[in-house]
Formats: sequence, structure tokens, C-alpha cells
Amino acid sequence: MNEANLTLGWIPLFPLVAALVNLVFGRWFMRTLGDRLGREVVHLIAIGAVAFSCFYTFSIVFEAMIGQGYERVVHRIYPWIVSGETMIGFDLMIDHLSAVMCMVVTGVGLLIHIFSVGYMAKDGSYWRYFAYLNLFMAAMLVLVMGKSLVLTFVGWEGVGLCSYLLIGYYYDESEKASAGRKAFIVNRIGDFGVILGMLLIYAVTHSLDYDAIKAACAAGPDSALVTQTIFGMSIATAATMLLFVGCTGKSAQLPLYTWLPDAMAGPTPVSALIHAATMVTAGVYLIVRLNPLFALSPVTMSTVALVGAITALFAATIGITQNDIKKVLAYSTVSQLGYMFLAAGMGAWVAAVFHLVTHAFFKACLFLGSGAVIDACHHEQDIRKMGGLRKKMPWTAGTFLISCLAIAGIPIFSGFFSKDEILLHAYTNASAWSPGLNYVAYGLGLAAALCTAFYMFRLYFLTFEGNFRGDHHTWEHHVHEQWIMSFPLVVLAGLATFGGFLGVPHVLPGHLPHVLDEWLHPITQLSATFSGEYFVGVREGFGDEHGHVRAGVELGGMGLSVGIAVIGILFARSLYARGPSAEAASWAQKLGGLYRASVGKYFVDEIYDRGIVRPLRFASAVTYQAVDQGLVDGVGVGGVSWTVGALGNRARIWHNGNVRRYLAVLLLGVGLVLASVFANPTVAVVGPNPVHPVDAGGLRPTLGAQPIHIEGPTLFTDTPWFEFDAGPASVRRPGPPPPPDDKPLQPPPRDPKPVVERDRKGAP
Amino acid sequence: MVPITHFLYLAFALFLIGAAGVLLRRNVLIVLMSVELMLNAANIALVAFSRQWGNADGQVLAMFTIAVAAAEAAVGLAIVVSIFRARTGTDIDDLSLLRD
Amino acid sequence: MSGEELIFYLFAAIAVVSALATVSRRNPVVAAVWLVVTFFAVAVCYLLLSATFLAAIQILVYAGAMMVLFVFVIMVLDVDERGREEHRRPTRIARVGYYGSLLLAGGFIAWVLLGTLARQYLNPGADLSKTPDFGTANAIGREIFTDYLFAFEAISLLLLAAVIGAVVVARNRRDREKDSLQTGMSHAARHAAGVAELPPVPGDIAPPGPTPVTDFGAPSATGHDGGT
Repeated sequence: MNEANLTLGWIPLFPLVAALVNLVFGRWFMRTLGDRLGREVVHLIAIGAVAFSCFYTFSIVFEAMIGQGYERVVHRIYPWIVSGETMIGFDLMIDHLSAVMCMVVTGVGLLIHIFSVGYMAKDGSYWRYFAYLNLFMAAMLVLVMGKSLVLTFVGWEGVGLCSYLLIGYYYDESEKASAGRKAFIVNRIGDFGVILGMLLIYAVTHSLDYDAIKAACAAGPDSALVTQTIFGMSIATAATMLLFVGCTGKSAQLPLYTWLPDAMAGPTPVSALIHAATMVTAGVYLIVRLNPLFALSPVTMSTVALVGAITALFAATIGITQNDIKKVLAYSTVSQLGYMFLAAGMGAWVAAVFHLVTHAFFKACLFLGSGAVIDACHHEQDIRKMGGLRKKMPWTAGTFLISCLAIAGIPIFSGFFSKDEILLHAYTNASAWSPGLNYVAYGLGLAAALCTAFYMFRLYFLTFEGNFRGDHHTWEHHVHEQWIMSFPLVVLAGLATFGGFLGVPHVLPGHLPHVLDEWLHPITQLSATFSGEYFVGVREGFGDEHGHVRAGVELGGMGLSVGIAVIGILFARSLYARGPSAEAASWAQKLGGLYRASVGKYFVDEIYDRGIVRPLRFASAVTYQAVDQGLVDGVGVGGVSWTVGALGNRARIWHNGNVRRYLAVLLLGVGLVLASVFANPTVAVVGPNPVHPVDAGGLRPTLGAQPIHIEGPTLFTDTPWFEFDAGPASVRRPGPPPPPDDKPLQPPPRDPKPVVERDRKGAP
Repeated sequence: MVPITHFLYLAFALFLIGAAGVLLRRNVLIVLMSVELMLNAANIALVAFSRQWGNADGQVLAMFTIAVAAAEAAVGLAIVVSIFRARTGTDIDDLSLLRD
Repeated sequence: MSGEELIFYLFAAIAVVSALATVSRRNPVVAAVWLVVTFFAVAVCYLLLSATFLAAIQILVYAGAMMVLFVFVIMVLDVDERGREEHRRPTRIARVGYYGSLLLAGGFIAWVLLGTLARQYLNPGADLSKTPDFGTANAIGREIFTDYLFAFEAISLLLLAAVIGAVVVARNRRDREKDSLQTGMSHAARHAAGVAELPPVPGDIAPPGPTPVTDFGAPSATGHDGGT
């Protein structure tokens, strides 16, 4: 393979170092340099580090990979875990997939760092925020650059930790702190699946390096991953299912999505970076990274697609009725992630990554826009108390509108291309294992698209159009824009607008190349070679001779999705163009139970609470009372302490301060030890030396200073450290001459014969 | 010619007597003297071995032992004096502060 | 029995008997005198082992200097050896068992150590020839100042430390307390304590600060009783 060695370690290292600097010295900066200058220093360190990573990533991608044609860049930092035959290196890699991810992470991350300067300007522990954010960047970069599943898992856990830290950033409010805990615990459930999946893969491939996994998959259906089974299913199925459990946790899919809406407790830029653009897409990344493995398990693929499609619609319907601006966006994120999983499950890897990228752009823009709005409205998040903000925040409103158009799938904007590609492949891609899945997935996707268009424009109209419904004081004195927050918005809106041209469908006039498809070809080419049950790609009857989808199908799907999006937008406009209307209320009345279920988020949290959390709490309370208090504390700790105390009381009389008594006991002890040595028949201690005259040569001739020979290199030389000529040696040392072989430390060799005799005597 | 083992028996006897003195007597001064006896026993063994080998190392060690014994006696007696001033007595059983 | 053997057994017997007397006499002065006798007998044994220089050292250092030190200390202390009645006497059997096992253990230790050494290093009957100057001051000095130079220097340092330590430990407590008090006291306080001659001058103000504390805790006239 055509690969280059470059020092990739800098890319995650710089944010890491900046995080450490801010963690250690941040408070000091703020105190000694004053509030204003201290903040400058803190965020310059943080932004500088991310900017460096961003620059470095882009230069590697454009110089080495595009300019010089290297297929990938690797960097072995050090052999990390070496045990027997297992060798897991701390290896970083930028290949075509990592390049996309790295550019998104560092690019969007940089913009969000800049936005944070404005958003967090009045926060007390500014340094802590930026330190966590940088730590997150480092972990996320390790996740996407890791060359083995283990290293990816390190990043996976690292981003989970940072997510927890940042969700619970306002830890003095118990609700927000518990939201952080919830995210962490739910993620842990998924991570457990990842660990098990990793172990299963390791059991077959004996390595977790992506190259090795890919090589193991290269045999297709004949691979050991497919032929070996566990509990009646192939290793590939079991492992990918377990990995997918982890993905549902990290990427907030059913049934583990509940943490993501609660994660909105964190600062809004964090929601933009972690819970929209980067971290939550880690599951998609993992599936695409392991696409040959997933392709070898049609069961998992269908599951992924179905879970994705259901999640997309499920979350979208919740999003329709939420009134918290961030909650709407959170459910929208869950829904869009569902689209990505739908694509990945249908084998449309490129579409998944494409939507990942465009979603990162427009969802980050939406979140940052909402952040600007929240900041402008005195941290008011209820859209019923907003409205008309466009007049005072034109840039925010404009970028928000662009992003809404993008997510709704209006042509030209990026979301149109990516979402259309997903829906198209949902319809046309093969799913030999589960016929009919195409129609279910496509139907669910279309319905979700309708909901998406509706709730996004409901959000937009309620927030930016109509009249302001909050209090007068806020409107007059507080609502304004800051350039440092508008600038990233504009950049992201630009990306959300033009990002779609990374993947223009073949059917459109001009036949622009599908850049992303070509770019990711090395990643996806292996899974494209599988056939039969494992076939991934456009199913029979829908493709033309060039491998593209037939123009009629593609144009039809496009028209349908655009039409649906327009319907959704117009419907939202008719209901909410001037704020919440009576018509909207009457619709809610009409839908009745459905409406209440949606407002109540289908009561999933309550069901989990009743079904899992409370029984668990009850069991915990029981075990706490019985096991911990009774057994561990009572019998264990208490019993030990009681026993020790009682023994101490007995033993106290020995410790009477009488020195002679101590000496006597010491003497008895030494006698005992010697007696036990003496009792050993193989150690003949006393008695005449039986046969053999003492070998004087083996003895150390003196106990004084003399050269001591040490094997191997030593700090000192062999010669003594002082020279003193005291006449001829015979005069100096009248004893026996030193041994000729110059081994002064050896004991005299012992004749084994007497021991044997003694044994023989003692045996009968 | 006296066999070297007989010197060792002498050392043995002196060491035992010294150990018994350390353990049985309560007078600090006599305990110190018994310690000196034990050290002397060790010295006899060293010198006997030295003679056996015709090697002077044992004698040098015995000399060092004497020097250490002198140091020990000096410090020990100083402590005795100090204790005597504080406690007005040389009974080693009174010195049981370690208990508390 | 040759003359050498006769001398050895005679002085060995003297050594053992006088050692027994040392540990059994009630009066420390008498014990010290018996100890001197032991040292002399041991010195004779050294002579028999051709360790002439060491025999001289034994008499000079042990019998001379150290015994003088002992006796001097005994005189200074004016020890009254009328041992108090032992409270809480255990039964006779317990005592016999206790001391018997102690003696057994001690004897065992000595036996095993000496036996091991003898087995390791001795070949009975063989007696390696010695050089003419074996055991003389000349030979010992050569050893000390070549092979054992470092140990010798270390021992000399140890002796110096012992001397200083002995002086520090044995110095009169009262003097020491007085000294350490004075260094931390104002003139007025010294005058009040009766150690300063002159009345305080007007400009001399007692420095603020905590009461000076000696290195043995708060000063007391009755002695330091360990804080029971």
C-alpha cells in the first residue's frame, strides 16, 4: 500500500497539551492576569491548539494525500501493549475515511471554539470549559485516527468522559449534574457491548488492527469470521451486533437515545460540537470503518437499517411538539443520526459519511444559532417566549434559515444531496436477507423527512418570525449579535449551503463527479466485492450499465422528497408564521392522544424509570441493607475489627515495656528459626566436615575491600577506587592465594554425597 | 597444640554467660557488662578462625569490634547516667516507657 | 599435656568462672572487677592464638580504658544495689521453664552459628602455616591501612560520634535547660529568672513571641517523666 510516515501524533497532542495547560494553570491565569486578559490567554491557548490541529490535518490531507498521492499516512508512536504474541501499537493513521472525519472534527471544532469565546464570555470557570473542550478534541481525534479498534475505543471512552464532564459542566445544578451521569451510564451500557464485540473479533483475528480485520474479511463468506459461530450465529453477526449496541449508546439510537435530549443541559456550543457534529457520529464512523465486517452480517445490517429508520421517524415525531429550542434540535439530531444508520445499514457507506459531514455543518450551525439566540434572550430556551428575533439578529436568522433549508432537504443546500442519497439507497440497495426492508425503510425515511421539514420550520418561525413574546426589557436592552458568534455561523452556513457539492448525484445535468464516493473508494471497495447474501450495492433492476442508479428512479425519488419537504415547510408556515396560532392548537386537539404522547416523548424515560431504574434502585437498597450493612460492614469489617481488638487485648500484656522481655522473645524467635533450619535434614549444619577438605580456593580470601566482579555493564570499572601500593602481595596477604578463575564470591563447592547417605539412612 | 574447636567452646561458653546476664540481671550496668562479655566471645571466635587460616582479617575485624564496643560502652554509660539523673535508679525494669 | 594446652585450659577456666562471677555479683563494682579478670584471661587466649597485637589492644582498651569508664560511672552514680522485691512473681515451674527455654535458645543459637562456621571454615587437624609476623602490629597495621582503610575511617568517625553523643546525653539537664532558656529570653525575663545580674534597661523590650521551649519539652524541675 502506498503509505507515508508522518508525525501524526501532533494532531491530538496539541489539544491535549492545551487542555492540560488550561486545567493546571487556567485558574492561575484568570487570577493573576485579571479577568479580561486571563480569558484572552485561556481561549487563545485553546483555540490556537485546535487551529494548529486543523491546519496540520488539512496540510497532511492536501499535501500528502491529494498532492502526492499517498493512500494513507500512518504514525507508530510506540508499541503500546506487548504481551506474548499480541502487539497493539499506539498507531495513528489518516486514511481516506479518517481524513474526512479529522477535517470535520478539527474544522467544525475550531469554529465552535471561536463561538465559545462569545458564548461563555461571562462564565466563571472559563478555563475549565476550554480545557474540557480541548480534551474532547484530543479524544475525538484519537478516536478517528486510531489504527486499531483498541485505540478507537480509547478515544471512544475519552469522548464519553468529556461528554459527561461538559454535560455536567454546571454541576452546581443537580438536574444538570444528573443529566451528565445519565449520559455516562447509558453510554457505559453501550461501551460494554463494544468491549465484548472487540473481544469476539480478537478471538478470531488475533489482532484488532483495522488492517488485520480487513484482511480477515477479505475472504468474504469463507472468512473465519463467518464460518465460526457462537450461540448459533456467526462471529461476524455476534460481534457486529455487540458493536452496534455500542453505537446505539454513543450515537443515541433506539433504545439508548434517552441521554442525548438530557445532554442539552450542557453549554450550547458543547451541544453543537459533541452532541451534534462529532461525538454522536462516532457510531456511524465505527460502522463505516468496519464496513467489510458489517457487510458480512446481513442480519446486523438489516437491524442497523431498521433501527436507524425507526429512530429517524420516532425522534422526528417527538421533535414536532417540543418547545425547548435545544430539545427540538436534540431530537432532530437523533433523527438525523437515524438517517445515517439507515444508510449504513443499507450498505450505502458513502451516503452515511456524506450525511455525517453535511449534518455536522448544518446542525452545528443550528445549534450555534440557537446558542446565540439563548444568549440574546437571557438564557431563555422556550421558543414560545421568543419570536421576531430576525429584526435584531439578521445574521443569526439568515444562517439559521439556510441550515433549516439544508436539513429539510431543499435543493442546492447540502442536506438535499445527502438525505436524498440516503433515501435513494434505502429504496434501491439490496437487502437480500430481509426482502421488504427497502419499502419499510424508505417509507419511514420519507415520513421522517416530512416531520423534519415541519418541525425545523416550526422552530424557525416561532423563533425568528412574528412578534417578540418575551418581556420588553430583554428585547430593548439585551437582544443583539456579537461578531465573534456570528462569524462561525456564517462560515458554517456557507458550508451547509455548498457542502452538498461533495456528492452530486450522477443524474443531474453536468454530471459532476461524486467527489466523496471517489475519495472513499479505498474504504468501501472490499465490501463491494461480496456477492450473494452479502451483496452490498444497488439491487438488480435499479442499476444502469455504469453501476449508477437508473435516472428515472433517482429523479423520481428526488422529486418525491423535495415535494414532501415543501409540504412540511408550507404546513409549518401556515400554522406558525405569526407565532403559535389557534389553528395549531386545534390540530393538537384533533390529534389528542398522539399529541400528548409526542409531548411526553412517548414516555420512554418514564418506562425506563419504572422498568429498569426503580427495580435496580430497589435491588440496590436491598443489597445495601443486607449485604453491605449486614454482611460486609457487620460481619466483615466489624468482625475483623472486633477480632483484632480482642486479640490486641490479649497480646497487650506482652507489650509491657520490659526491655529484657523483648530481648528474650527476640532470642527465642531466632532460636526457633535456626531450629527449623536445623531440623531440615538436607541442611547439615553441625558436625565434623565429613569427607572433603575445605577448598580454600573457593573461599573469599578477605572480607575487606577488593574488586567485585559484576556481570554486564556497571557504573564503575572493575578496578578498586583507590590504589595503595603496600609492598609485594605475599607480604600483604599471607593467606591462601586467590582462586585462579577469579570468582571470588562463589561458596565452596559442596559434595552431594553425604547428603545422599544421610537421606538413605533416614528413609526407612 | 590446642585444637581450634576448644577456643570455639570457650567463645560459646562466654557468649552464653553474657546472654544470660543480659536477660537475667536488672541492673543496667551489669547488663552492659554482659554485652561486653558477648562481644568478647565473638572476638575469640574471630581470632580463632583467623589463626586457623593464617589470615589476619579476623584480627582486624576483632579490632573493629573492640572499637565499636568502646563506642557502645561510652554511649551506653552516658545514657545510664542520664537515666540515673532522671529516674534515680539503675533498674532496667523501671525503664518501661516503651509500654505507653 | 603441653605447656600451651595447660595455659589455655587454665585461662579458659578462669575466663568462664570470672564471667559467671561478673553476671552473678550483686554489686556492680565487684562485677566490674571480675569482668577485668575475664578480659585478662581472654587476652591470654589471644596470645595463644598468636594474636599478640590484639592481646595488647584487649588489655589496653578493654581492661584499661573501658573498665575505668565503668568503674568511674559506678562511683559517680553511687549505685545502691539493693534490688527491690520483684512484684508479681510467677510460679517456680514457669520461671524454670522460661529461663530454661531462653538458655536453650541462646545455646542453640551459639551452637548452630559456631557449628556452621566451624564446618564451613575448619578442617580439624589442619593448621595452615602462618607467616613469621602473623598477628604482630606490623601485619595488622598493614591490613588496616590497605584493605580496611575505608572501614577504619568509618570506625574512627563512629568513635567521634560516640564521644560527642555521650557528652550530649550525659550533660546535666538543668544546665542545658538553663542555657536554652536564656538564649530565647529577654533581658527582663532573664533577670526575673535570676540568671541576669542587671535590672532591665528602659529601651530593652521583650520581643513578642511564644514561650521558649527546650528540646526536651517544657522545662521542669522534677525531671522529664515521659508524658504518661
